[in-house]
Amino acid sequence: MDKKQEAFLLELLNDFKIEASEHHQAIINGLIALEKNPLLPVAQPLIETTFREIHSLKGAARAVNQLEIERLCQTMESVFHKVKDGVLPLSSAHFDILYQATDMLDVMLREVENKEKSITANMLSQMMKRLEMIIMGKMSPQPMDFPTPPPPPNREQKMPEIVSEQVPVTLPISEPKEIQYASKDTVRITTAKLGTLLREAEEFISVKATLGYYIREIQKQQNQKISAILREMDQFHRSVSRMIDDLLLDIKTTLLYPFSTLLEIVPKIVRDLGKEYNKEINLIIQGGEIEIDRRILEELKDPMIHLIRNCIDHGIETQQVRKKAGKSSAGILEIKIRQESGNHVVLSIHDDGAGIDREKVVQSAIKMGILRKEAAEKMTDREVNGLIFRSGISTSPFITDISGRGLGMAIVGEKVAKLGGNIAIVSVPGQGTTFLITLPVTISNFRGILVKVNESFFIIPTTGVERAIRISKNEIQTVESKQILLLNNESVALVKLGDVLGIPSRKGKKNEEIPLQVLILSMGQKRIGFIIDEVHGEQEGMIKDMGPQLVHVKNITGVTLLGNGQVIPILNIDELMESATRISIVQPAEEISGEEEAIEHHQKYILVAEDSITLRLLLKNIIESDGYLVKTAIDGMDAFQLLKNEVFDLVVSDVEMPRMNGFELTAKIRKDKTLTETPVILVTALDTAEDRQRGMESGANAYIVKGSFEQSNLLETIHRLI
Amino acid sequence: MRKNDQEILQERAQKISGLRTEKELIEETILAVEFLLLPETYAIDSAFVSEVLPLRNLTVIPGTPPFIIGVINVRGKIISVVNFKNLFNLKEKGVSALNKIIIVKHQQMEFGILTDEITGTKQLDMNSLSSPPATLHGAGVDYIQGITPQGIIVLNAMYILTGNAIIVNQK
Repeated sequence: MDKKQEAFLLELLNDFKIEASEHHQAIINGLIALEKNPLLPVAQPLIETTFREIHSLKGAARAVNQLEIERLCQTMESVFHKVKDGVLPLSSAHFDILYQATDMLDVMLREVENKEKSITANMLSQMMKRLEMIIMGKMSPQPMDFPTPPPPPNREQKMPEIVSEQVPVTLPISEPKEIQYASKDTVRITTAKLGTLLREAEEFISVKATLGYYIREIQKQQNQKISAILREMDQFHRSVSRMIDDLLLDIKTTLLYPFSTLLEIVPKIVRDLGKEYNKEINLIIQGGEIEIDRRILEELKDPMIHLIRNCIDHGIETQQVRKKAGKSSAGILEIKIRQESGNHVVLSIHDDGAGIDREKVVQSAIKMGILRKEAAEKMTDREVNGLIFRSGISTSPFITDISGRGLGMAIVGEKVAKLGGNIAIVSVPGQGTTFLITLPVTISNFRGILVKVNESFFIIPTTGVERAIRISKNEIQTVESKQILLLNNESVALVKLGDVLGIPSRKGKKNEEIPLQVLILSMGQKRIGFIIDEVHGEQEGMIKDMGPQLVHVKNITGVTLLGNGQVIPILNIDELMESATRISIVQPAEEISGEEEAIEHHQKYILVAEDSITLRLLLKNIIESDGYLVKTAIDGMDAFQLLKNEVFDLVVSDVEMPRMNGFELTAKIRKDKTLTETPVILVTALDTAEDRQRGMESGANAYIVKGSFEQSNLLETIHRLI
Repeated sequence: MRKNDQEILQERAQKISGLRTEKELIEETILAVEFLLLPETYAIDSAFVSEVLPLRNLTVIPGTPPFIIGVINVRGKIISVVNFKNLFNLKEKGVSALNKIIIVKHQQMEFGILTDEITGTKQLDMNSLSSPPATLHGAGVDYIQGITPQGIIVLNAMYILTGNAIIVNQK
């Protein structure tokens, strides 16, 4: 154990050295940049970064007990504190001293594990004195932006009176850096570089998909001549796909890292916590050799520590209680990692403690207002355990340093979800609690189900989808004004995805016989059924963020690209469940079966037929912005089909469209008995008297030319007609 | 002695603040991209403009504030698009088939501005700007640097790109 501890410390020091050398380099870079740009607006961010880097190095040094380095950084930090506040303008003489301090840091960092140090205590205190003189302003500042005497051409000549007072600090000659970590068959590459490589390789996923999309599009054309080329192309697509898959797999493998690197911090944490709580704990660790994406490992650290703390604080009982219960005085904490089928690993954290106190959880939830008393009694254990992941729920009667704030488990759940994983709890009263975290082996293995809701497409991560079912309306029950579906004797709340996302729903006269498409999503212990329009199959892709402006949008994790380049939002299951719960608490779920249209009855429904996606979307946006409901069709044929199925108050149509153009559509509408009264506005790029004439002849009510679109005021025309 | 000081000063200024002298020049006149948000004409410092694109395949992100009209895919990178008409309380007058997006960027921040049309680039004398008219009110007024004698509204690109007001973070 001692040897292990020693080896661990050594590893820690090595990590520190790597981190420290990065900070050190950043400090030097900052100083160099600052010396070049000492004037304020430009210098401000440089001062900030340099200050932060020194601060971080100080923190890291303290963590590994490198007190001399910490002290030196502390003093340098104080200098920058003054600079940052604008009290102290830096002169070039100041820079000299700061550079010397970083040189000294360099030597100290390189000798971290050496017993003999070349920097003596005396040298260190001399250096700190010089830095302190800067802080106290004893060195007359020579800011470079004021008309004071020019700086001497070289450093040696500067500030002679001070230099003469000092014991010169001589530094040992530094050795070349890189030798230390190099080895014959490994190369050290920063994770950032690997990350870039992976991202670039991932771009090929869309190349693969795009190629497939084009092939399918061409196949529709059914032309003898091209079918031979198509066969070749299909072959090519297959081999390209295989090459891309191999490339991605190999690059992802370079990012894999054994769990043991994460687990090595555990023994010390467990020992410290055990001491603090006066609990004896036997720690068992298994499966540390199993590998996972190192980015997941990094993100997993905090949730894992939190769960361990939970087990020790809430789970494992005190020695006296354990003896009374007939248990061994030492509690068992078991951390196991096992490879699940295919691409997943399961991390289980188990304690043999008291288990989750159902009553305490329920009480806490009632106090938070999340749960009503009557509802609590009907809850299954599974549902109660799920409450733990709601923020604010705590079973601890008082707030301690470690746990009891109730925030922790919510964060754990969120973090695991973000990694594409899932967390579950198994708890047996008196026998203990097990947290099971299922994680993907690599981060970017994103699979999702493409769904359509109120004319919009979304992707729901597969990890959160329990199953997709079709139900008929008479299977829906209403309990306490909530819509509920019975599934294997467990009640599952039903909500409409469109309502949760706040996108206006619009269905025509709905056929009562048509079954509803429901996706059962689960997160932790919570299960909710979401009603959608259609499932469009599974999609593979990568999660992209939505640009720097959209930092976090409720219910949305990011977006992904379809083969045709279309951007599709990916839903955040965790937040979605949260929002769904809120909706069903705040307002009784409205009737799901048909009558809901009554509320929107006054809203007019407009059909837009336009073959250009851009214009279609813009027309939709414009018309919707004025409070109308809009449905879109891709051409006249599509539009006429929709008109046959639903009732529209008005049609806005382009003229030039494939299959059936605007004139033909208008004529067809006029000829149809049920549709003949529907107003039609034609929007066109054609602006000849002849076309206008033709438009009117076909029976259109208004004719708007795209070129003069902005003046012709589409909305006004719509107002006039309906 | 005095002269000597001056000389040295100038030398030094040149050495250390090449950036600054350039910046002073820029501050007098800027090359701006001029565009229409009908019925008004706007301009934005071209130093912040990274490219101009026609609007294609816009994806609406539900739950975002009304001034975000959606996101677009720019060669694999996703960029959000802002509709300033919404921020300036301009009424939508209709759409043009030629809608263009100006991608603006500063450090990490980057997004698109929806325009009705881009009318070109222009040298603008920043000293001739007058303050925004009283008719402009609401949050939008902060985004405006001033108005040229010709009535072109000049956006304050730096403020728009560094401020927190248009960042969406619903965490």
